[in-house]
Amino acid sequence: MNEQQIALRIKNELDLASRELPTSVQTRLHAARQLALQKQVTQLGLLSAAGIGRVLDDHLRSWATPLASAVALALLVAIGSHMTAVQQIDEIEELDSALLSDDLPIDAYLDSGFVAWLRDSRG
Amino acid sequence: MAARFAGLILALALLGPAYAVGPILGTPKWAELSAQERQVLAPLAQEWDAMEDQRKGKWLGVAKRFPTMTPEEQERVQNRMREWAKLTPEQRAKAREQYRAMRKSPPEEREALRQKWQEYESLPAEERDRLKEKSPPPGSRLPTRTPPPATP
Repeated sequence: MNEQQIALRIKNELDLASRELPTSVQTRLHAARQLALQKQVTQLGLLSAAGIGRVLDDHLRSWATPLASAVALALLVAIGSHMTAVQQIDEIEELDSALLSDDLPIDAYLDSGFVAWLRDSRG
Repeated sequence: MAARFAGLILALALLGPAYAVGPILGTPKWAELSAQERQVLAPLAQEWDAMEDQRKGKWLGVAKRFPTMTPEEQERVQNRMREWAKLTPEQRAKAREQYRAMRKSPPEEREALRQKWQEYESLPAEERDRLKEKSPPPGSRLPTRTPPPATP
């Protein structure tokens, strides 16, 4: 008789014996079995949740470094552009302030004939 | 996922500059300006709220420099504000370019320039039109007197 046959024989003996147990014992055994099954389901659920968490964690870790680098790059680009824009506006502010307060009127700087006339009169 | 992520980063990089400049320059409405700014920029009151942010920023800078100018310069600035604001961007760029070129002239020539302008204005209209036609190409420098060569 091999191992499997022995196990089957024990199971059959236990099945037969369990039918002869008093109803109160059978009820307690049933309740214990239900409780055990319930705990098993809860543990499986926890294991499953832990698995999902692990997967999410792995994914986030794999994206975190490039995401941080990309955000830093975007910030650098934004700061650089901002500095350039501020510098350009400063330059135009200074130029326009000087041009508008200048003793020559705006027309003198717009009239291309004036430049030609200066060239002629100096030539 | 990767494509969406790359799109997000591209959007951040492209929109970053706009967001960086916008909030700092701000878009103050006429009513939000200080009393001093409103007084200096009074000639622009009508068009202020419709003006682009960048131009508003520039005019606020001019208003900040205003107290450092002489009363004569302050009067000129305020008299010319509307005229300047009505110019096209191309005209403004041309005037700035010409001003840059003329600014390099020595002070004695600057004084002479004022007289030259008055002389030029007194020329007949036909003569001025003729000069405009033969005007130098855009970007060319204003002619300046070259100092005589040093004698040994």
